Amino acid sequence: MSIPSETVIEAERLSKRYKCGHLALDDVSLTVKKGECLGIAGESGSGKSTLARCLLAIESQDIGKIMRNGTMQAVFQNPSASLNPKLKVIDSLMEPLDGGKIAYPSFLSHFREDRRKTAEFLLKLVDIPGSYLDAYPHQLSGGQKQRISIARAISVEPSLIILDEPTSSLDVSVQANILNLLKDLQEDFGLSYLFISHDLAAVRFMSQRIAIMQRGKIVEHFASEELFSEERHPCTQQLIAVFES
Amino acid sequence: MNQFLLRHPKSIIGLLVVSFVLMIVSVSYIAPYDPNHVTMKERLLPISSEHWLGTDHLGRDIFSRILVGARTTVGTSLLILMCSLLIGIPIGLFSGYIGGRFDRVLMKIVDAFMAFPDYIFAIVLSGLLGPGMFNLIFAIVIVKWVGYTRLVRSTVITEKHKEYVLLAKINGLRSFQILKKHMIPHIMGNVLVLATLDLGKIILMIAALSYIGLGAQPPTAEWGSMLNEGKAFFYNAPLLMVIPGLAIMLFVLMSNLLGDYLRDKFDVKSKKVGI
Amino acid sequence: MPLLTISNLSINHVDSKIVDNVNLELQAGEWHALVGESGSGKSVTAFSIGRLLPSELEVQSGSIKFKGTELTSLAEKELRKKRAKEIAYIFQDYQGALTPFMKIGKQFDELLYTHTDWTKSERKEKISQILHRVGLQAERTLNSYPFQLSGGQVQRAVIAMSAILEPKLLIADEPTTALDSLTSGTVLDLIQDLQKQTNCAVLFITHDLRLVKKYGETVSVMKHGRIVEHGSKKEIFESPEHPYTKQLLASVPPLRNVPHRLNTGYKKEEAI
Repeated sequence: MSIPSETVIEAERLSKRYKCGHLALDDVSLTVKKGECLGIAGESGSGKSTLARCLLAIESQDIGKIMRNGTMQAVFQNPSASLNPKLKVIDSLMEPLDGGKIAYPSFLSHFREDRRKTAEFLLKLVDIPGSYLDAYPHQLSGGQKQRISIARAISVEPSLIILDEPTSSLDVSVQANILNLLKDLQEDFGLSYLFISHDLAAVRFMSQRIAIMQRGKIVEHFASEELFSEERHPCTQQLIAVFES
Repeated sequence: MNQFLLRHPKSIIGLLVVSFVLMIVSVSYIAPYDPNHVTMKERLLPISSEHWLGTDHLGRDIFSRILVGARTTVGTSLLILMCSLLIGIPIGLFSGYIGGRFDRVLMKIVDAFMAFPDYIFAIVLSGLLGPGMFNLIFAIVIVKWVGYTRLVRSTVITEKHKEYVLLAKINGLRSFQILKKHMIPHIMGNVLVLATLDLGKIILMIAALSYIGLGAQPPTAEWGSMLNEGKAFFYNAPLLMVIPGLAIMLFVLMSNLLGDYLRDKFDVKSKKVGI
Repeated sequence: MPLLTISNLSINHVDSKIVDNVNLELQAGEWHALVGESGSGKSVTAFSIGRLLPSELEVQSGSIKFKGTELTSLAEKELRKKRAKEIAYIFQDYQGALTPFMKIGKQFDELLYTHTDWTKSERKEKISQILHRVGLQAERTLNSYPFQLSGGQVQRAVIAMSAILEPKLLIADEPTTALDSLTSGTVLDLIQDLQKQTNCAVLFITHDLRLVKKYGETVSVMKHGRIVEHGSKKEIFESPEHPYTKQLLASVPPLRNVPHRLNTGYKKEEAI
């Protein structure tokens, strides 16, 4: 049951059928290596989000197994729902560390014992002024909320961050800034990502490898540079055609 | 402070209610006469400088009885409210959060309670249990907790699937911690509003049950039972009914206004400004 | 004569300008993309054409001429006629565009009954024709309630409904924002087919420049209530002049020649 140390997550032959009969995952296998970004693209209803939830252990698969190396964190699509509107920014931001179960990671170790200083530093990493710590989510823009969700995710230096459509509900220029931020953080901290989106261009921008999902299956799986290779599956070509006239 | 009051005229009402409660609770200790002291020579006296609101059919000072009665009536209704909250909120939280069969069974019970009009239910229940303050409290709590369970449950059900709850689970928070940290702040606003509006209804219910003889027993001073005792003398001495009636009306009015004010106050955040 | 001329349009919300001195011209049959981010005033501009503004927004000045008729001062009754027959809208929320408790056939028929003097059989013929055109089975769709159709079918039905009276102007306000990229493509293809068949003009409101690249003919870029740049698709994409247009273009990740970072003009520590 052990996996090589350079692998952060390995899912083997996952299947899941919902009670209504819908087959959400159909024999899905994937591996994410340390420091890389695996992209998953597909239309809505292709099973991307179910996959994310199974990998995060929020839902359980019917068949198959998942082996994880270390902690997982997630950033979801809707920034407003990702922060509890009744809690101050600092209380949402510090939730992973507040539990006391996870030790402060090395990049935060010199703030030890000082919750507020740690929180300020985390906000600084995502370009948000420390004065926002006592603000409530409704005082922030969508992009700012998403930045805070990202800061929260990196606070425990997780071995994998699952990004489930993290930019889909944001304005174009905000999307671009968030993508840049994610890329910068990945380089600075050597993070591993699983980047899920219906937007093939965003997936291409972020990932070294791309998997395409359709009707619960991973139909193909290739290195990003090979996106325009002629052997691509019709489903991939369809996704490309949306952007290319 | 003054500016705050001017900008929020309804907050004056809140202050009034608070001072009203404080006043009656403290003044009950300095009531001019013993509320239960019977002086048959002084029965049914009109308003005078000695007896500010006159005396009743047993010569007891009505003003003192109203003050002491406030303690019984307001105190009892606050106690009932507390008990309803303490039963209703946790059940609603767990039922909504756990869901599944537990929730379905509980909601059937709640539906059964809600199927009966609350007055009828309370009357039947305290009738079966027999007259007395304790039984009255019990009967009204049984009627009232379901409202809070429903309210809390529906909020929890809409919130529990939001991403921040998923993230809390990912971060290893246990269900109890999620309820405490994430759900309670969501329900408190609504619960507070419902509670203040309910306070008025509970007082009316206590008064109603006491009026028909199921609540406070003589000689306890209680607004509802004062009404009950006064009804035989309504033509000769209407004050016996008018005064406790007015006291009940004022208190119910104030608690409703406070509820309205709180509702507006908690709405502010959800209002979107601009477009 | 242009089909639609908006000149010096300003719209206020209390004291703040939502739309600030906007000029826009649409020729018959033209597909014009109005591009902007949230809060740019693009949707408000679109709303103002059919006078659909919420009451707290008010047209401060300017004129909106449709086929030479001034819309801002037109009587409500005349405007209503125009709105159904000549100016059609498609919104982001497709489900909300149909009445949930009425069969789709009846909804189509009522629309035609109100706005045309066609006989019953003519109406039926026309409805079947348009449903067929958007790729739906006429009989089945007409006898269904909206909830019995899939999301994609509802989209098609709604688009068919806005096109059935052959409007001269179709205003599509973020018709793809809630959809994934494949479905967006299908919806826009459909609108494009209808545009070609009926020669209506399309005012396409969007924040996604990639869709504009594929579907627009002329483009206006809006920011903070003003149109900052406007030109043909070729001009905007190949030689943008305004810094904001350049920034928007650079924000979109490309599929080929992927840069290491997107050049958004965003600097660290800047006001976010």
